This record gives sequence, structure tokens and C-alpha cells, in this order.
Amino acid sequence: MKDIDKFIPIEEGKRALEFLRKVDLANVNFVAIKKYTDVLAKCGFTGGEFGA
Amino acid sequence: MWIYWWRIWRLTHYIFRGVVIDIDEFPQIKSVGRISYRRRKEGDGSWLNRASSNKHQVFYGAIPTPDFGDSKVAAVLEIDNIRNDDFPEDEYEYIAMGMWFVKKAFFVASVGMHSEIAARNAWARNLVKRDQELCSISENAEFIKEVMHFLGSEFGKEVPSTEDHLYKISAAYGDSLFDLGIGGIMFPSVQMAAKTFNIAIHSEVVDNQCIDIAAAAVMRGSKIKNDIIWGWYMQCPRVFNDELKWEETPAGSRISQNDLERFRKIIESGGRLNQNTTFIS
Repeated sequence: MKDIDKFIPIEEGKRALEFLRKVDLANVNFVAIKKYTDVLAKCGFTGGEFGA
Repeated sequence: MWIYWWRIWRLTHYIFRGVVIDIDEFPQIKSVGRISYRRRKEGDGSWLNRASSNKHQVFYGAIPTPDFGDSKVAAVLEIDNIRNDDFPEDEYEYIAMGMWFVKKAFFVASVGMHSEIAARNAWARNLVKRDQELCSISENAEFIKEVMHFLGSEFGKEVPSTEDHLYKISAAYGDSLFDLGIGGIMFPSVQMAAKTFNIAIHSEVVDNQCIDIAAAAVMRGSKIKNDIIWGWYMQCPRVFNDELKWEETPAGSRISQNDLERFRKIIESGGRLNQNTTFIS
């Protein structure tokens, strides 16, 4: 395992992605969806310094 | 949680933010707060934007990319109503536009670059390349790519104004990032087919004066058949102490009735303006 992988909740992330891919957006409430996007956010993201 | 960080956005200092205004209320627009992020009000319901719900107060703006430098056009197209079929030809639309600049750098997450529309933008392609570098240092590269592509499709999809629920995933993800303390989220503009990017900035970043306003102006839009013509209406070339002091714009930047008649003749005789949306600058 590489260092970066220690910080990725991989199994939880895969379940979250699977849920979000299939979710019925018209009928599932926002709070339920956000629980899964919280997991994806914790799986990491890229970014930079704006206006440096 | 990990964050893959780079510094490449030094050139993008200006952010354009537009607010549709009712011209009858224009005399009351005297402070910067009126054209900054929408402040929470008592009795507010809930709503979704592309990169946030109203859980967080968020400043949305447009930023240029090397593909298209005039982000005020993007700021207009993100919010205008005049292109709607039911917008009457004999009415004007007014948009108060602020030109903001970054005083103190802040961290911005880059989202949605892995989408079909973003692939047309050279800057987005560059960001994707950097994301691939990230993938090369993880054993979970495939999963990371899947997440990036999934978010790309969510942030890059067309959402009709009557189907806000289609924002649920991108808005929830934006809220998740803001909950983690991220200052801003940058994503491709769907309205501009990713030629420019949008930025969603947390209100705390604005209130901490990481960004400030340099100038403001009111634009007036007119509609002739399917063509829209925007001109300047009023301007506030300098802002001191958050006070907006409006003055008339130079005559050449305004669209007069004579101009409109001239444009109408061109259009009605089968001619075309240069673009469907024309900006007088």
C-alpha cells in the first residue's frame, strides 16, 4: 500500500459511488444523498491555490 | 482524506459576478453587499445550485480561462432570463455586474474537469493530466478515476430550470467540500460549454476579504427576435468603503433607441448581427 492509499476509505467509497450512480434523484432526499457525497469527499480531491 | 495540491492559478485574479436586478430597485443598490453573495434570510426555504445547497452561503462567479477571456459574458449567461422564450421583446433586462479580484489566495477544489464538455477546454485538459499524475501515485487509481469521471458527469450535465433535483449530487458534494473547510470550488460552466469556469466561494472567504470588488456596472439587455444585445447602463468605476456610487456610462457603451432601431432593421431584413448575443464594450 502506498502512503496516499492509507487515507482513502476505499470500500466505503466504492459503496458510496455505487449508491450515487443508481440513486433516483427525484425521490431520494438530499440528506440521504449527502451522506454518500461526504464519503466521496473524504476519498480525496484535487485543487490549487487561487489567486496566488 | 487527502488533497492533491498545486499552484497554477496565479493569472486568474478576476472574478465576475452578476445579479439580475429590478430597475425600480436600482436606487437602493448602494452597497457592495447587494451584489455580493446572497445572504440568508429568515423564512428562506431550501434550494439547490450546481455546487451547493443553501446550507452554506456561497458567492458564485465566473472566471476566464485561456480558451475564453471575457468572463463577464459567462457571468451574464449564467443568470439571465432574457433568452427565455417568454421574455417579452419590449422589456429590458438589467444585470448588476461586479468585477472582483483576489486579495489573499485561498484553496479551491477543482471538480468536474473529467466531463465531455470540459474536454474541449485546454485548461481542463491540463488539470485532467495533473489528476492522472495523482492517480499514478495511488494503488486505487481506477477508483479515483471513476469518482472523477462520475463527478465530471454530474457537474457537467445540463439541468433544465424546472428540474433542480438533478443538482442533488453536485450540490451535496459541494456541501461536503465546504463542510471540510474548503474555500472554493471551481468547475466548468455548462452554460458556456466549458469555455469558462465557474467558481463557488464560501461566504467566510468573502467576509475575510480574500476577495474584494474593483468595479461594478449595470448592463441592460434588449431582445430583438432571437438576438440579444447587451450594453452598459450605469457604472461605478471605483469602489470605496463598500459604497457604490453610480454614474452614467460613456455614450458609446450604451445602446440607444437609435441603435436598437438599426439592429432591428438589420435583423428584420434577414441580416445577422455578429452573434446571437452581442456585447457592446
